Amino acid sequence: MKISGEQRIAGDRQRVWDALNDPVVLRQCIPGCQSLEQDGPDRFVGTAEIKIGPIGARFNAAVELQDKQPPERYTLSGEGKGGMAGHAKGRAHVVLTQESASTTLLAYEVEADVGGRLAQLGGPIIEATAKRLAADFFAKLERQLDGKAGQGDAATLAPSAVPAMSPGETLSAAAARDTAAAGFPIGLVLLALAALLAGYGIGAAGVGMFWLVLVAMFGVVALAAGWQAGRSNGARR
Amino acid sequence: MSEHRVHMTINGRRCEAVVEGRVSLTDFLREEVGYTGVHAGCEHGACGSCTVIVDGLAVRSCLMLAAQADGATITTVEGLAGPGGRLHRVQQMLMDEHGLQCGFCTPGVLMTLAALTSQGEPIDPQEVEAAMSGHLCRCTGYQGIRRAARRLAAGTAS
Amino acid sequence: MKPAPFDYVRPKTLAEALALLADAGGGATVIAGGQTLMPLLNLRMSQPFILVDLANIAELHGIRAEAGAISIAAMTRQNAALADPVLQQRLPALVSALRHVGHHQTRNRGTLGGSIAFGEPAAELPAVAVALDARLHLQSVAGKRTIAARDFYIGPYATVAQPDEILTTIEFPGWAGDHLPVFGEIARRPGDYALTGLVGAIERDGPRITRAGLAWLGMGPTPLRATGLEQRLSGVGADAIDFAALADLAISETSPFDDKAASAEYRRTAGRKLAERLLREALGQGAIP
Repeated sequence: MKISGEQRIAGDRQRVWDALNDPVVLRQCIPGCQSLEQDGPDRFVGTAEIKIGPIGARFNAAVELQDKQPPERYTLSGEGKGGMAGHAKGRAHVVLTQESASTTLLAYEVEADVGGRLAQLGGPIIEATAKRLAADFFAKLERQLDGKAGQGDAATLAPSAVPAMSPGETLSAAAARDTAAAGFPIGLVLLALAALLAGYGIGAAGVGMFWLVLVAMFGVVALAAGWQAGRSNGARR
Repeated sequence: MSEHRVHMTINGRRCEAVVEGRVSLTDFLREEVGYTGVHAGCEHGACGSCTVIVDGLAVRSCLMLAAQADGATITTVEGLAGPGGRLHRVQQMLMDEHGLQCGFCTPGVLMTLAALTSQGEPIDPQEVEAAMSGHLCRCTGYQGIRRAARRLAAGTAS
Repeated sequence: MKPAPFDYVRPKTLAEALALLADAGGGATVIAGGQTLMPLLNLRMSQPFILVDLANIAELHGIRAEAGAISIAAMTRQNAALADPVLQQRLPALVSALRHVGHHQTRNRGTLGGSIAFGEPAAELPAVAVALDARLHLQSVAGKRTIAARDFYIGPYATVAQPDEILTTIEFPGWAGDHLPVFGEIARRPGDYALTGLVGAIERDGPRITRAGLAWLGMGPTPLRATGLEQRLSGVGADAIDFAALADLAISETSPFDDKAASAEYRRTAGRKLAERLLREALGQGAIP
């Protein structure tokens, strides 16, 4: 199954990149991520749970970062297992470009194979749900970017009210600056989202909610891998 | 995983057991209590072979947890026949109308028929026939079941 | 085909149930009739840590009819609602829809609240709630809120209800005593999810249509209110209606799925014919041949 798309995010590319490098930001944007660990130089494993009403499942996933060209593009390849609920394998190519002073364009192309029980729900339902979850993710991301206006490098930020910063935010902003060069997090986020949408895109007969869940999980792991990679490149942990 | 002590009256006999939260009423009746006349077909409510009577109503035992049936009065196909094996009215009618072959869907069919036509209330034949849409039969082609259903309903008119 | 392990709880009061949901942090799911949830559990498409059974909560049972509205508590069983004489008289579209919900055996356990809260796009009861301007009362430990049914559904199986909220009551506003009920669906077998369906109510003052509430089922990611159709009908005299044009308009507002059960093309074609037939039948010109 192939799916591609793009999403505009309000914010210049560096800000978007920093936000996606920020573990605090990602944690708040990614649905259902429960754990994430580094499992090798460019490899991450984690778990996530996605729920739509009562429907949902918990997945284990592994993601690898490949063909990295920070801060512009990379490829994420991964697979996830959800026991009886199903399984998925796929790959996403992600590109980030500055469209205007205040808009960043995220473009993605995803290919994935999905199978298992949740596939019974039906492709269109998966697609509709995937799009909704992706929209949720991007909306949260934009709110995070708005909230962070005023933090970090003043020269690159649009003027806006500076919200009160908690200690956690300050730390993560610092971490983001340190790891800005890493370049993975945004890609991972995009991959995650792409995986999400790809899972839905896999659509047609036999594809079901499972796709959604797998892809979402994919996305979660991808995102987690992204910021984890970012962190390891910069200030240690 | 929670465990629950449940009490039920099944085919006229009181029954008490401890069950895991997730055990279905079908599995409980078949494996714990021994009423294998309750058939497990699709286990998601579509085929009707698991149908039993709970508190007077025909229900899918595969779509109930045993824990949910605590305190209930349950009848399975084993509870239909009278002393000495005398066939219940619905069993006799289904047999007379050749409404069974392999017998897999039969217990469920009988329990719906019993619930609708043996409770002392008159019922429209069309309603009983409509209720038969909740049972899938691979053998008979349904016409024998249909005839039995209509005759049983007609028999409730007073 | 067996559920993943969970803890089963059957609280006696609504307050107890709400506290359980709040404490579980999203890991709890409520079970109403269980006719949709049990298959999901059996297939492991739903894996809650805690299952909260609402069956013993007295506040969640009962039908209350007043002059201007009818309130149906969420745990009202579908067959009980079908047989209720007040609903038969005042909400005939709801009763017609109920006849098509699952089978007799599933309706003995299935509830109105469970079906409406779940939000299956091809189900009858969510579409009835949307069409008839129902108001949905939700409650959590944080308090109560009321959502119009037409604002409740945001996607397949997705509603605005939070994981710690319970739908307690479905409130239907009054429709004139002589309103025309509309219900029709196309399904391959009785009890199947609809491939397409239209439900609602039309009020008239003499020959003139004064109010219409109509919604599609199975024609998109959620029940779809046929707003354009309602606006076109408003104020129109029954003798001035072009039914074919109305059906075209009604279909143009839908976005049906292409899936295993039927193609979008089929749904549009069959749905259009269904709409024309139902409108003709309701507004007095009989069935088209």
